[in-house]
Amino acid sequence: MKCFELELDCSRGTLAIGGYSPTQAGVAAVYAQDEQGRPLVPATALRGALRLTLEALLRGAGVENPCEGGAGQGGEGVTCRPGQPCSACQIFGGAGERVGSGQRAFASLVLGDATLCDRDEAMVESLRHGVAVARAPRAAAEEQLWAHLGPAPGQPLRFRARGRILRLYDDPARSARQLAEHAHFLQAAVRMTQHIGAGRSRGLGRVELSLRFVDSPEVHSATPEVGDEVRLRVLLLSPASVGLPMPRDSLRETRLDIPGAALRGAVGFGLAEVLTDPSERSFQQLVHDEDGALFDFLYPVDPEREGGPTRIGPWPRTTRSCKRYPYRGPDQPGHGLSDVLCDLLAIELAHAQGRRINNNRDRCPVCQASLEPLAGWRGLSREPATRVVQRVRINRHHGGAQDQALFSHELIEAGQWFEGSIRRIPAAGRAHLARALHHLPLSLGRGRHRGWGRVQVTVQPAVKPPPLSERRKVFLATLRRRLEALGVTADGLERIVVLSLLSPLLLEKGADGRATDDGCAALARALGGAGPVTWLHVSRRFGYERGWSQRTSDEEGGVKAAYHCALAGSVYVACLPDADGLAQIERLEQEGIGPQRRLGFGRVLAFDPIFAEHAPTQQEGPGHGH
Amino acid sequence: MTTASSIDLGALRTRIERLRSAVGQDGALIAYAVAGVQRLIFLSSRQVAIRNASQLVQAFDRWVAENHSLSVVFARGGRGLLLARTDQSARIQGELRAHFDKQTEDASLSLTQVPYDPSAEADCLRWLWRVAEARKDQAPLPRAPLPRKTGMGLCANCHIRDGTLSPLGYIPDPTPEMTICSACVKLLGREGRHNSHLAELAPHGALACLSADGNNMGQLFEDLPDLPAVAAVSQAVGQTFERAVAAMREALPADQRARGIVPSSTGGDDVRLFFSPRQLEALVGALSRTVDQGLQAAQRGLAPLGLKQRLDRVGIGVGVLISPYKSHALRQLDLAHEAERQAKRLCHEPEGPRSAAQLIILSGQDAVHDDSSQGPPLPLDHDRAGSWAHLLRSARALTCVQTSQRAAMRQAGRQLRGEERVLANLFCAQLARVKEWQRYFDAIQVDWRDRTEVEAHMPTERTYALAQLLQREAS
Repeated sequence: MKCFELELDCSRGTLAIGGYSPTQAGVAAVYAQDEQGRPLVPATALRGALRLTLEALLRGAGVENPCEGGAGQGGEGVTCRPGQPCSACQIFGGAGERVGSGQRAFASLVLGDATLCDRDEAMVESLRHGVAVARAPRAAAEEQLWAHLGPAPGQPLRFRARGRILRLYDDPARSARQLAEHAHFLQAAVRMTQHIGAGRSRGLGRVELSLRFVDSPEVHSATPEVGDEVRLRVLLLSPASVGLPMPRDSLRETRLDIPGAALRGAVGFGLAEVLTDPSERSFQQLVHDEDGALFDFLYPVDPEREGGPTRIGPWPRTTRSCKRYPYRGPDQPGHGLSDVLCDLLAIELAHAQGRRINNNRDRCPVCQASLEPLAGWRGLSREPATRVVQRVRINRHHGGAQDQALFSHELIEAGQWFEGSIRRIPAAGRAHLARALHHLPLSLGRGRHRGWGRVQVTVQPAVKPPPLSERRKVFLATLRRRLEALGVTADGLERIVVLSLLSPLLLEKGADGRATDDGCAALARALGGAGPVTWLHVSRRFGYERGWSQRTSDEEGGVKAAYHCALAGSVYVACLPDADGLAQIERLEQEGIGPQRRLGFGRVLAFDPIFAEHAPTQQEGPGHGH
Repeated sequence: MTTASSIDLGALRTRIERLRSAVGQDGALIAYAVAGVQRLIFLSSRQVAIRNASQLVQAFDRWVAENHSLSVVFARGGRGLLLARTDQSARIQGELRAHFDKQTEDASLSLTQVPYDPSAEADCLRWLWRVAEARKDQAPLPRAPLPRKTGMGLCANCHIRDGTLSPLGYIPDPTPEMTICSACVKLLGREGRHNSHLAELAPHGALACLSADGNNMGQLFEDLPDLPAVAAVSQAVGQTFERAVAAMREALPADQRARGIVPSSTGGDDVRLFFSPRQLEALVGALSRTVDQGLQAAQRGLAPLGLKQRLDRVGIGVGVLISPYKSHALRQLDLAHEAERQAKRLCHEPEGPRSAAQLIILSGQDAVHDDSSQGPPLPLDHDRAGSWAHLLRSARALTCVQTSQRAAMRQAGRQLRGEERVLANLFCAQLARVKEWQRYFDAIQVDWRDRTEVEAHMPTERTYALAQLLQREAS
């Protein structure tokens, strides 16, 4: 690996890189800004400009005839073939590339956004107006006035981007040759690149680039040890894109939680970059599909909020807030939170007994408006901020946007915090994990090579939820009180177990690919016991999940098989044959359930304290009874 | 068309009485609801898929009404209520589920049954809604197969599942490898060859998405005292909203009525609609007018059932999103639905209006984060300042002001946010010298010589955005 710093000197300060920041009303284009409004040069623009130059250099010098923009196109004589990419594709990546056997990455260049060298420097903006002149009246054409917001001309801007050139191959000799060649090509492209972004014909985007190779930033100080389980607080340093199971149309949306697969991928790719032999046993044990560590989902959180497994993640389906004055976090509580699980159980029990009750908990206790399930996450007051960036392939012949090659990506904005955990870490892999979490540059989600999803990880001691027996005791006491208030009698309450999904539960499927279970059968098997499990109540919604692998090169094009799933937040209430099921429940909490548990799917919490915390008080009573 | 006031209460009472006597003391109330109806309707952004999924839900309601006429109390909007003998209820539920599953694989039917006690009908009804609400997250998993992969071989309609069947003429000029999935055949089979995408409604790049829903309907239904009241209110509300959609279609120019809007109304109290922003004023006007008239007629017509006061607070919340057409239909609908909720919150305020609307204009897919062009929701009930009608009139009047003047004042408004006095000074200076600004205030019936009035009625960011949109759409 060769690390470098790339400096951009924009002495005129006239940069016009659009499509990265939200346009304000009335402005046609806005210069690229970071989450705090400071100008930056997105890595995509930087890589595009360098690639354009490198392609021209390689072609002009007669070294080879690279393809155009990684699309394998460029007419006859193009040296880029599937499995034998041209030099430009080896460095910058190509469309549809996968990591083959003996390879470590599909492209060698990792390059992040270029940010201001002096981040505190004040900058003045200016609005550039442009107008089309109607030829007949020789006056401004109606509806053809544009305003572009950018840095005011005349103020020098200096940016710095950090990057590295990766070893592409496991073979050390081949990798050494590749590293030297790619460093050479990058140096040449940097020297010859003079413009970034749009408007070069109008004198915009003129830059001087310089490249400096530096030592690896990895700190070789002592690494704190990690134990069997760690809790992670993760700060996004650059915007992140985490693929939805099914992308829709031309806008690639991001999911707002981080699946365990993305976390494991970040750790795995981070370590694979620096390990001499990535096939070494201790590393493989850490990321193994069957016996490796258990990488939970990371959920968005407010940094100042208290964490832990019962304080993060999705709201249970049974937790509601007022439709008129919804709960938006502790600072905007609206009419507060209500959990209706005890009331739902009362309704189910009364219904089974052929009785009617009149609870009033489907209405807001303050204003009597309807209640609705809460969307979002427990640890966060509002949805994480996102931004939509546009990317376009430049046509090499006319220098404009390539037809049919404009993509929009939704990204989670930098500055967002997440929390999650890695559990059941094999002893052999702990040193590797500690090194990755404390010292290596990790990236979550897609776009690692263009600097997306860079994170800073803080490792914290694991927080355990209250003991299971205590949670059960509190819940059952709350349920008994509520049933009594509603006049519902029930035997065998001590056999009730309440399970909520902290992450999606992948459902088993039959030979035709359709789900054969809604989660109840799998949970019943896991609960085991002497007799059949009966289900008192379920509140669950369905979706589907699907992963993507860089290493897969089969006909599916890297896309993994899909699963139907019960969504995170679903609640299942079972009645066990006997009251001695605590051991099974504890095991279920620790190991999860269903396929792909190592990637955080199927995580279960029994007797979630939230059910008791927000259950109605006795004063709220049965309402206007019959 | 039948109006709510023309509901034959006598016939309705007779029908319900026949149901009651048929079940005697041994009856059961059965409620059904289509689970995941929005996902079913907006699975694809193609007009034919949206229309047909809506029609599928309506057809199912009709099938229930026709084939279980001896049991049905109402069947509308993907929801229904039946009263049947206990020994027949299992058979009826099985038939409902089987028929629904035959229609589509992309949604499932939620069924709830409670015992019927003729001496406590209101309690039984309330209990039924309560149990149905408690079990709404228990509908079975839809049977549609999983999406397998991206790229070649996907269904040419939904682009999610494997295409396994030949296109049967639904796709113009299909290539040999183009196929559609069995679930989509069921959707597409009803309307033939209409293949338009929603983009056709957006010749200037902007598409309007409307989400409207009755206000306080849940509370109204839950409090209804007996089966005749449930049947009558369901019929009145359903007819009112059906009429509203018909009136919206009538409000379009004659040549656009067939294809100008893509309604997804399923016969209940909700309307989901895609249309060209050019039709904004006509469509929202027709919707609110017709719903208002329908509800007033219902109040009169249902007075003998003692429901007049219950209908007093019922109105409509309307959310309109105008955004680039490239977003997926479901995403646009989500934002329009959020706008609808904001409008409804205004109605729920003390002394709030019966009906309100919220308009959100997004200039780009990213502009959702720029909320400066959004204003508060607006009452639909009156025509005074701060109402929906006033916003539209102001925007229309603003299109007559030079674009350079508008651009300059809009820019000033953004730059001087928080410095209202300075902005007002600047604005008044322009007003004094530019006749078009004076005509603007004349058009919205504000005395432009009165500085206080001018300050209160200066165009907002949303008015500028709407004016720009209206002008572009009219060009």
